[in-house]
Amino acid sequence: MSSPRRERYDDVVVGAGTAGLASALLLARFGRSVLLLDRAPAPGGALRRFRRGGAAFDTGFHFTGSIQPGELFDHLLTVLGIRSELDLVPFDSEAGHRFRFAEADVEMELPFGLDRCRDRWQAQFPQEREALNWYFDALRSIAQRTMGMEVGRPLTAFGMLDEDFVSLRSVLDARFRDPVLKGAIGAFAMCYGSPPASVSFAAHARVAFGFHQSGGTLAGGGDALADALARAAERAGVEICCSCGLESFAPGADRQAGAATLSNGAEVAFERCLLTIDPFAILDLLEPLGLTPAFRERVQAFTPSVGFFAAYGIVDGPEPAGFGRSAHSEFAGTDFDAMMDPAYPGDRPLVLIEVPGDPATGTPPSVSALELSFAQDVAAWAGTRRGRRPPEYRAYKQTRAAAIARRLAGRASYADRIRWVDTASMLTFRDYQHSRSGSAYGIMLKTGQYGLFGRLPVRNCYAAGQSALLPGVLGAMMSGLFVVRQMVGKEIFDAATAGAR
Amino acid sequence: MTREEIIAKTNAVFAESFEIEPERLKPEANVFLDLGLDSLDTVDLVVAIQKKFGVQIRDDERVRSIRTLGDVYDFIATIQQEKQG
Repeated sequence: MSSPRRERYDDVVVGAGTAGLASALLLARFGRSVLLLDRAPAPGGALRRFRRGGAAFDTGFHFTGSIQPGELFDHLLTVLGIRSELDLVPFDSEAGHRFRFAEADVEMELPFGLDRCRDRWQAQFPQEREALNWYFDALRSIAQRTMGMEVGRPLTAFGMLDEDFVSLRSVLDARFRDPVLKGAIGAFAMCYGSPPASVSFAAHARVAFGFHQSGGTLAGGGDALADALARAAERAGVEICCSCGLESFAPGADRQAGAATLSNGAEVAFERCLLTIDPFAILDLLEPLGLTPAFRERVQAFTPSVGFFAAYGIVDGPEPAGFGRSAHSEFAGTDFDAMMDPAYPGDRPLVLIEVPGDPATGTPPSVSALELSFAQDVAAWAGTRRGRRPPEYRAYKQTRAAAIARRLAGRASYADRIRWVDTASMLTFRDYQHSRSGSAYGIMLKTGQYGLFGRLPVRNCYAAGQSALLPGVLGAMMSGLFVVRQMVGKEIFDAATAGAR
Repeated sequence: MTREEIIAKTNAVFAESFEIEPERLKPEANVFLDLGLDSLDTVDLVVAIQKKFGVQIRDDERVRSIRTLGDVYDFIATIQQEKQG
């Protein structure tokens, strides 16, 4: 456990995940003294990988959209000053995503580019030609009207759009007829974790826009991004304190928080505190300082997103051709509201991620199979701790892992060469990532919902993270940028980042 | 919904969600100067009104032009009319 070197900082940033690292390094570049805290032993949060049998497995970062030069992911890395340290690995531009709808017996490959995907879907679903023209225009229009999503446009307020107040379900039902096409559009729920009846069309569009542009990953996975962000933060002068959380605030005057007490007992004074942690944990920290019932009810109305059960395996023998060039998704039905209901009787949505090996380091090729999961699946053991769970919990994990292996047996050509080495339930994700329920994407992006972003009712505290605006690594980085813009002032921020935009 | 119902429900939002004493809830009361909310509370206010009235409200110019409690009543009446129309 490390201890802060000073008694006072301009800014304390809590949570050293993507949003925390990105905002801490930007704040330091604006000349602020910054302390970055995380309860985990190393910075990176959900970006961190773990190692088994010589292979490295990602926990939270598997792939992202908008990865080509000039697109948003590439652009944000440039703004953060770490683009040259990272090697972006695009998927197959003809088939970045492969979907299979089992009951309908339909397979499809999604190419890079909104127009190309529209053309392909129009060829496959000629009856839906007009609806698809409308849909892809809407995706583009929503991205254009969303602050910071279109590279090169000036930043304006992150305001709500009309499309934030209609659900994806209502759009699907009003515009489309073919259930398989509705399924293909709804399938992006796997990338944000809210079912079509809950998610706003705008939130869906912001995420789907990026994945339709392009998809891919980073050489070295999430660790590479975490390490690059942490190195840049340290170069900028951020003091990173790991194995150390923020326990409580002293009361302050005038709706402000006073000094922070850390989990190692140290007390730190600050001007402003940025919380890039679970919104429910933010509520717990601020509650003793006095909140209005309105704010409390707003946060309590949030619902954690769905999560995943993960099975991790090593592929023995030679690496299959095309390995790691697509994300493979397997869906029993086509109705994601039904499939994202814990009571759904069929096989749950499954996403297979392939990670190529690296002969230079002797790393074997590996797979992560992520099957949709809910807090209810592990509710019986929610009160138990890591390493002290009963045999029934181990049996649950073994049974689910075996079922996943059986599902893949008929699907992947190399399935008989996978050696399964580990599993993770939602409790595993909860324990290692410090989210309340092990949800994969923070909170659900419900229609008409105002997330926690920017300045909070405790006026020297701010919020950012993947629950703030958009989920995933892109959303977390964007929230970090925008909250820093609010904290340092938009004129100063825009002048400093004008070159990168 | 009658004007009286709108007033009663709106006042309930201020009393329950912002813990403001009912006797201070007069139509001419300035939401910010007299009732103590600040601009950052408006999102919480919008969310609380959405829930109480079962409507969806954009945090747009109309919300930002609200000054008095009477403005809030008028705003909700307009939203209700739009919903029916």
